[in-house]
Amino acid sequence: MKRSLLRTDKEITELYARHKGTVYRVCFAYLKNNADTEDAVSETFIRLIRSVPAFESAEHEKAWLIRTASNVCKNQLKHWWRKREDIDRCYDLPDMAKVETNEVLETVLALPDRYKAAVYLYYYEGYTGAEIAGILKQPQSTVRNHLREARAILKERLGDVFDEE
Amino acid sequence: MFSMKNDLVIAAWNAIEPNDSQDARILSAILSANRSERKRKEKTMLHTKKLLIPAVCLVLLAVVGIVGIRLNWFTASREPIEAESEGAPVNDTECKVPNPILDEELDAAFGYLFPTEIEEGFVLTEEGIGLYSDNADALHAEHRVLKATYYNEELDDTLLIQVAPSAYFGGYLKNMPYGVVQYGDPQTDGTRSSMIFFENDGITILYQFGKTDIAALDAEAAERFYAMVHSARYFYRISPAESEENDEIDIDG
Repeated sequence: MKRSLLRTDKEITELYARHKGTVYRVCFAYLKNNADTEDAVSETFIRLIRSVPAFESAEHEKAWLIRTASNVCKNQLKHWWRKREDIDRCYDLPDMAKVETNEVLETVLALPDRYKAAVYLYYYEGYTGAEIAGILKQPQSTVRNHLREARAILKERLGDVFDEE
Repeated sequence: MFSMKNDLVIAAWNAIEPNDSQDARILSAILSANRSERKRKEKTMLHTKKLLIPAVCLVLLAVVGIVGIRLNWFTASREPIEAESEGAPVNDTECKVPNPILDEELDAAFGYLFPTEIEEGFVLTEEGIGLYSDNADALHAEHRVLKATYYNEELDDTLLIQVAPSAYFGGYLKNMPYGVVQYGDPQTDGTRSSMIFFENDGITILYQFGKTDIAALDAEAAERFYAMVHSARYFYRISPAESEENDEIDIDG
């Protein structure tokens, strides 16, 4: 699956279809509103087009997109003009579809930013701590700590609803 | 790898996905970026291709230049260049000229006349042996002059040996008989140079002492000097029996 050449529109459309859900969720976890998430998702895929990376496998491609999406969102949050949006605001945006949220999602989205990607990858994507460390380019110990602390927060806030395995 | 760790979290995340209009906008932005990127890259590639031929030409030119400079293709100096080893000089085409001269190219032009044995007591001076061009544009044999300067401590004098096409010496040797000692004008200290020259196939070799009279050399010194002259292959190849029929040179004048 090694690719390093320019992609056709068809290839880009297929690549987007494969990973749009994952990238969107990662971005939404950080940015918490549809408008910014839309921009971040676009930016992530555009980075892929411009940097023309050569992927060794589908998993490599996915991991690259997750890490890039995470970096794009962190960069957005660093901007001085950036106002952190509350999760409730996404309901108020006029042209955006409403996001069905529930208590669990709100609690997850309210986690500190540094935990979000790890929590998403661990609980939703099913990656192990070592794999998450590889994707996010972080030490395994850091990922383990983030997951442990995030788990403690979720358990505290969700109580019995959060079924920790 | 994929294991459902918490159904609630998974279910909550599943609710997060772009709706159709968002999907269309994102994809449109991505495809637009992809098209412009492809256009940019193709333009760059085209530009690169256009530059490739001049770039290759420049590289070739540079290579030729470097090689040419190293081999002195573009220069023709009259100054000999010192050789890397044993003080042996090189000519202006970087052709090493050992003593005695054995270089094949030189053999063809000058080798028959140059002595193959330099007698004891004659030491190459710092100038050593050098090939000089009398025409910077052409380095063929007819345009070259071989000069070798020796110093003899016993005589306290220098011996200059020059080999060149006879035309090079021109009027200098005009009307001077070959194999006969000739003299230069007296110097302020009363000394005068003496010279003797021989010719073969249009090539002339000239032996010139700065102040020593060749004709007045003592027996031993004269023997060494003429032994050196005789060591040239032109003399060597003429056997005594053939000498009368061939143009052997009477070096004793």
